[in-house]
Amino acid sequence: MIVACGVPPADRPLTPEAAPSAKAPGEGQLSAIAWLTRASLDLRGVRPSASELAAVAADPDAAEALILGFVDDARFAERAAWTWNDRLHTALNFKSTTLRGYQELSDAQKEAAGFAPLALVAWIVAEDQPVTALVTNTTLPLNDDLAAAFGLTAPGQGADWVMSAHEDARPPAGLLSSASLWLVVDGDATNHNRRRANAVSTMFLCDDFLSREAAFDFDLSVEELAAMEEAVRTQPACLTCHAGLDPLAALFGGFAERSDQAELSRLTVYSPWRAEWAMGWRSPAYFGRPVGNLTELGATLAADPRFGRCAARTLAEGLIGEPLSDEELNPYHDALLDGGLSLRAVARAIVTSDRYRRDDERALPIDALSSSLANALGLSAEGETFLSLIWSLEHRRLGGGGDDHTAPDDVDEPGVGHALRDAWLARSVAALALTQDADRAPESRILWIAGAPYPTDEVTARQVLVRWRQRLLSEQLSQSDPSIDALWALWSAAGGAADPEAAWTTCLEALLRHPMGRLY
Amino acid sequence: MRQLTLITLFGALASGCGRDDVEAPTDDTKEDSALPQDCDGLTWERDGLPEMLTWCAACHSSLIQPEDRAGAPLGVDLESVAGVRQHLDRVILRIEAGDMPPAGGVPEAERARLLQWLRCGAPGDEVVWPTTTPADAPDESWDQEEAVVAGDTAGQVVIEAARLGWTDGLAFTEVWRVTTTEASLVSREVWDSTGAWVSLISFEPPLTLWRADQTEWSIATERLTEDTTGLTAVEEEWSVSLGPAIDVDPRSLEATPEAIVALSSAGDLLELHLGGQGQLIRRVYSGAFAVEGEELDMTHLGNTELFTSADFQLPIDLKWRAKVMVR
Repeated sequence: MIVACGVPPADRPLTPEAAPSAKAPGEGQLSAIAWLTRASLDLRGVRPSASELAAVAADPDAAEALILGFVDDARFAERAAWTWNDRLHTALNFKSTTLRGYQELSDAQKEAAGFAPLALVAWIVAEDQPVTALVTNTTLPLNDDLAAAFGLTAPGQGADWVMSAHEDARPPAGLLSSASLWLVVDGDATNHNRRRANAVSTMFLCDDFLSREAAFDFDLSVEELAAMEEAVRTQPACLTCHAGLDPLAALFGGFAERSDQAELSRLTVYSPWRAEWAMGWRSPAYFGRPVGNLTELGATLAADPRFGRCAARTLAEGLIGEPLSDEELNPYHDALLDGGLSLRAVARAIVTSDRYRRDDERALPIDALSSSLANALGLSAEGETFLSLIWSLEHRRLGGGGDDHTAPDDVDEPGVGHALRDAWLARSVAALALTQDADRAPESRILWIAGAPYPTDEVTARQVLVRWRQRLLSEQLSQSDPSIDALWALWSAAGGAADPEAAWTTCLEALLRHPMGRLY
Repeated sequence: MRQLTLITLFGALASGCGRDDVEAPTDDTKEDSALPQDCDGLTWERDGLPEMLTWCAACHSSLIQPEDRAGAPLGVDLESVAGVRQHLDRVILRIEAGDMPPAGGVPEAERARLLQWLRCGAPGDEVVWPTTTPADAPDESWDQEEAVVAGDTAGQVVIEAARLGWTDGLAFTEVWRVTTTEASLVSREVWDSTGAWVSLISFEPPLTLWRADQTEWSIATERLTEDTTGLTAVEEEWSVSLGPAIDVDPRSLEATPEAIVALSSAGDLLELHLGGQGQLIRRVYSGAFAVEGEELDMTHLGNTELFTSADFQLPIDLKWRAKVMVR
């Protein structure tokens, strides 16, 4: 029986923000605590610590400095990487496709192959490299799992990523040279790598050729199709896209074509001969600027003002959670340019902007949900449940997550699937978290407070419940708060002093299923 | 009313990226275009170049070859701000008329932003681009092939083709057996540029390319070899098999036409190189190729170019050609 889950909407953090402040939220703006929480989840993938919450509760003006500090947290690198997956859609792809070669990979190899392009984003943020390294860097991340999958020399660091030079003759150009990326965005003998060219435009310029009004009508007769190759060079409706698309496509012939038969390690080989051959199909060019190879393409792409703007848009829309108008994007783009093309500079501009602080509830990204819960419960983020949350297609889809393939984007609208996913999640980790925390030395416990775990006296129990709401919902409540009353009632109904283990597990499960834990 | 007339006129004239054969704007038109604008802060880098790259420069560029301009008139080059200023009035007219690019498609917001920048006189400094080295001009021989359908009798089609260039000139004849459900390659015979016979490859049974139930092939070949006694014809029999070759130089395949069955760098792919790149020629199959006696199961992935002769209608479903487009 769960009696305390239905926390009323008014159950918001109690924050002493009455004093006038230069940083006081404007109308429609998040409170300082909520702003701190949002930024912490977005930038670090965890909720604010108790001390951070207390600091901002005491002085709302302290929030901005803390938030700016989050940008320099090492964990921002991985958060930024996942944010980029909304643009690249590689992470889950190797698990989603059914090509034979992919099925032979282990789960760890599939995850490594999918995350490899994102690992470059993580490296760029971690090292504060200019974002142009996305398409110009001479090395790419490699770990032992990816090396095993692609038949490369393992760097010997296990699952850790190591920046590695290419082992074959592919021209180095950041992600443009990535075998992972061009396996996800594959080509075949008939499309002349146009799909890859469009991916370059979509991923790095935020311009999808297929979104153009004059995009190709696929409903053509056989006779019309037979004349298509001629049409794409001559017909105005075709040239709207193909004049830019086809010369760009000519640069990607060196990457393997799609095959349901070949071993994956063979599909990752770059062929200079095939690259040269493809360049004979059309003279390679980047929107009217001839380029001779992928390295030159990367350099040219990096010089294109659309590239930086797209990078700023990717991070900003990823952190803000919705599309931005050009006008809304301008300050973030300016921050990128003024900040030496640093993504951290963009992040600082984003999280301190009014647009970011707007009081609109957002769905927590799945990777941040996983890492924040693991952190809040004191469990390893590498535990099976939390990894499943991110990497299991079944759990991901149940919770509205995209699969980077047939349904690439997350579904943020709450649904039955979310509730089922959260019920599974709560059941999977609640008892484990309490048991593990009980086994810790008293001073190291994070769920229990001083004294014996599974307390049965009301005073201590209320202290524990306040702590849990702080850790799981970033709330600063008093022990007499109605929400704590409700949880105490649940505790009593679920076993109470007669069965404290069941009572506490039920309470934690209830909090883990709290809808506000998925919104921020 | 005058605006409507202009649109109609330009619409009638436009085709391809070019056909920019419109009269220069009159002074009256320029006055209409020169609406008061807020020009502060407008730059080429932010306001002009992105739109020009997206919608114009792929054709209107002085940096690409004339044949790649898709009809854009020579000299009307918009990849630089200097080029835009040189043709400023003309560009404004075309953007206002909405007939450039010829099929339209520029979202209204982008069009408005571009027009604002243009009407402000195309302000801003040039952007510095990296130095690039355009790819070598493609070997012309790769595209120099002509294929014709020489005959179509009793379900059997003969294709004759000639190829020039780095193979020093080759001609071949292919015999195909075509029904409503399958197409099979019966033989391929090759001559050099002097007309001397080079090789004959016969497939028995015919190499069925649009069916998956063929389980065994034996391939008989005849070809000329040269030794101390001169040229002699040799006969060979061999089977399709999967080899370890990676990154086979496609040109070497072309240069040794008897090896028309070869593996691509991707492995497990059968490529029939029936000519240079571009026309009728490169047929790619995916399959579990194995030594003779084992199952041979192929899927036709497609051709780089299809039969274009109006005289030849392959009687099979070719809807797969939609793959040619971006997916």
